Amino acid sequence: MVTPLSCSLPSRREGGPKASGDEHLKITPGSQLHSICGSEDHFEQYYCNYGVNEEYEKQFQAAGLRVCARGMQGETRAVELPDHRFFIATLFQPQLSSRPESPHPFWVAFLRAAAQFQKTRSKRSASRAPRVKPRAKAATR
Amino acid sequence: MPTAIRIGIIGDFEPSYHSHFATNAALYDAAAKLNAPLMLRWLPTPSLDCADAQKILGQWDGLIAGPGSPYQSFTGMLRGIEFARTQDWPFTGT
Repeated sequence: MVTPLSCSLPSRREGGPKASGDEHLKITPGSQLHSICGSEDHFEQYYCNYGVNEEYEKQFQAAGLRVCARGMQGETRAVELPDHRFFIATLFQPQLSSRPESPHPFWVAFLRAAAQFQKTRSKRSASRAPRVKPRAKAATR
Repeated sequence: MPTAIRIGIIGDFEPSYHSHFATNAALYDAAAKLNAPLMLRWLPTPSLDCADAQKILGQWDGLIAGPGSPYQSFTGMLRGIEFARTQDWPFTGT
């Protein structure tokens, strides 16, 4: 599923992993990530040596994962589950460019989703049969 | 005082990893922007490799797969991700 990156990002830091520094990304219009980032062109920071093995991309998509960010050569950089309230996995790390005076919108959006979920989960567990019994118990605490 | 947003980070916290420190910092900064109290805990991966994993995971309003593989328990990490995916729990991995 993952594979060592074949080449370094142009902005690789000396001594750092292959993907370090920032990279220009294309965020997929219509994706949840796009609604968070607010634009198609985006720069994000990395600290990683691995990427998605593109041979599996069709299988990911068949399983319902949608690619929501790509590198300039079309490489998969983030995926999300469209029908999920918030399920986004990224190769880049929005925490690396977040700053106290300007927290990264990704984390603000994630916390908003969690706060919203906290408000609705008791209602939700009452209206939908839980698939796992311990959850119903946890939700009524 | 509003109820704290409860976030569980699945991963084996290592203070010297910049990515781990940055994850905590970014979350606290985002919570400050929302003017919302935040309760943040790292959930060690071996603690989720057990029959009670769903009880532990279900206590949080959002789950994060922390950076920094290999994890102490890959099974524990997968249980966390599977729980979030199948139970429609807010989730991200970065």
